[in-house]
Amino acid sequence: MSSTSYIIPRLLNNTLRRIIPKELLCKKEKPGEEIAICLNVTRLNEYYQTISSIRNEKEKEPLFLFCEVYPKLCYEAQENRCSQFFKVVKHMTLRFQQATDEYTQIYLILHSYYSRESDLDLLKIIDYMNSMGLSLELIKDVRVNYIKKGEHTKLCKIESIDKNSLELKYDTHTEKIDLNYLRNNQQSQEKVILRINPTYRTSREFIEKYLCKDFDKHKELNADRNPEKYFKSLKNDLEILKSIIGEKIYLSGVYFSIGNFLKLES
Amino acid sequence: MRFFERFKIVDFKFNFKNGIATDAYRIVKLGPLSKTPLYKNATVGVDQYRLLLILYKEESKIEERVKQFIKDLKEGLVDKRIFLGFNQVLETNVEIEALPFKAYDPDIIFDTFNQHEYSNVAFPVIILPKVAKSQYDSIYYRTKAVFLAKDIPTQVVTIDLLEDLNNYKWSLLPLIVQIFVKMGGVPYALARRFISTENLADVAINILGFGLSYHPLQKERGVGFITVFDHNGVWNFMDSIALTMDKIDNITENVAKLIERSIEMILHRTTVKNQILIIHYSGKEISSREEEAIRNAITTAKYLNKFIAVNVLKIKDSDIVVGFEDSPHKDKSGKYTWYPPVGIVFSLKRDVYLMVTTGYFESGRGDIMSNIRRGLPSSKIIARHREMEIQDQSKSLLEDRDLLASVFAMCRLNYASMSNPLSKDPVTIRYSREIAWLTLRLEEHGTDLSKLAKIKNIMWFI
Repeated sequence: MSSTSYIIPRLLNNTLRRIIPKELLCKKEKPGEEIAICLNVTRLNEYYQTISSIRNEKEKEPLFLFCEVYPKLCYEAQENRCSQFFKVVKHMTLRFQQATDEYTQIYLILHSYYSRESDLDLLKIIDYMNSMGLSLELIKDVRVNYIKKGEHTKLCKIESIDKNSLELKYDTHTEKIDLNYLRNNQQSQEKVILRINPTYRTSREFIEKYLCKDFDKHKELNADRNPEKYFKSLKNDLEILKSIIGEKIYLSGVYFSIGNFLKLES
Repeated sequence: MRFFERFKIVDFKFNFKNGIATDAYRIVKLGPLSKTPLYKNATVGVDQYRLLLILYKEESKIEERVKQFIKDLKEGLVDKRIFLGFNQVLETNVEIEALPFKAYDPDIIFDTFNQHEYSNVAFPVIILPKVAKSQYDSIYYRTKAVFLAKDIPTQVVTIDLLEDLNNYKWSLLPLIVQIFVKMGGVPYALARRFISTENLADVAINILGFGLSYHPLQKERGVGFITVFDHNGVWNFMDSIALTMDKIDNITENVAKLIERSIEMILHRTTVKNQILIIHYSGKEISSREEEAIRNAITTAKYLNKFIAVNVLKIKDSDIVVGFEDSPHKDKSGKYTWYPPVGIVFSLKRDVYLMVTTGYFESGRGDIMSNIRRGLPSSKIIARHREMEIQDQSKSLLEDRDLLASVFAMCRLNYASMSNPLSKDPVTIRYSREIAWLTLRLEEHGTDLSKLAKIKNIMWFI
């Protein structure tokens, strides 16, 4: 349903943004997502323990089994390579939307999937490579996003790299960057951020080989869901959401409660 | 929420040369419907081809696989139930040969083909490395464009496919059916019109797929394109037009021109007096500004009043997940999946519907099967745009059910995969990127695709 311009859903969405604790909001907003809550396995586990209606339903949440198989992608540990760079989380997007047909209803649009939080800052990776005694040459050809405030993000290829500097290629231009300058510049307003872009083959090969072999496994979590698994966990997601935002949302003297009509008739 | 309609695959049967069947695989026994387009055009047809020319890079490690490929095309696989052979399935009489080229360079590949003494009666099948379809500058699009500019359709086969023995054997039949289509043949069509009413027996229904795409690298450039099918899903023709995307008047003017051209062509190619036009357009890349331009173009296009009715449907991907607690479908381990039936339609609000396009279905023998292996089912949102419609206000010729059936029917037409009885996208909007990118690429080389006589009349883009 197309219209999101009605006032009450907008106010409700604004209220949601205010009442959801900041630490639960996803670090990075995806295009088109109004509000997104990201829950790691530890946090998710807390909800499953504290909410009585779902306490015995952990088998309905696929992330728990996934994290038993791939703990390195879920929990932090010093000696664990993957966890320094990646964490798989449950990603819940939500918004209120009004639909007017014969009569007006406000829907809560809730959708859940699994995503990977990545921290692929190039400086951090250089430090890691150095600490492991790996040659920086191995980062050659990897694709990085060049991010600078006020400029469009540029996709660059690392043409060459050594302990002092690196050379980036963007279209037909080449730019040399001094690594010390880059490090010292991190606190400045004009800072440049270089982040590996894992979409490209050369980047993926580098990540798989030197950072985290299983970094793409969360895709299996999404691909393995069928409607039965999806709706059984979505029912619990709704309980978790209610526990986060409260049973009722107060707006200008009116309480809005969330009903559950997650059922189809055939 | 109650469902509005449930279309069943078994009610949308296919017509072959020697009979009617529910699934496309029966082409093996029933033969292709026609070796020439069913709409008048004398310049294309399967019988014009005498040779399949397999072009591959010389000295490559795949020589053995190419030899095997030719043998399989000629003789079929050992298991004839999987693949019978090119001429055997398609009732053709073409020779099959291989020809090596020196480098993965589109011009070199074309020159190699062109130098063959029978290139004028040869269909090129080109072996290329696998590349992401999302790369505009890939060898795949560049090579296809060089041949298209000379009015020659091609079939690309990836090295990966030749080397993946399991996938390969199941791909041979759909592969040759795609070649047959690109030669100008009609493998099969729907056995009857998709509408249920008998009242319109003397009326022809045309389905026009319309798309608008941006150039992937130059945002000010774009292309509008149309594909036209009839009420049996039989291919008619395609056309396209270049657009200047930063000038809204240019979009309106040119889209109107494209639609006018298409209407003239539709009317020129038929003797049926009463015609209905259903427009399917995809909202994937379209902003509200462009939508407005399309709306203006459709309502201002001349000759639309030659139709007794014009209906407009906007079709877009939906992120709504549909689950059926009572679904009979089970996964490999015997657990219920809650997959919904394919073809089920819900009414979201007036004139807006949700159609499930992947889920479970019953085979002709009553087995419960699915056209999705795993993951969540996909669905389409279909919105009827009455404000753009033209029709006699006193009577509605096509009901919503008929219009939705046009979408379901077009999902049935899937020459690229024989085993999938329903594609998640209707054929009218499925090939947007392929058509747009190749049209834009040709334009860069100074070739207007709409001027190419052969290409306009075949489904070169599948």
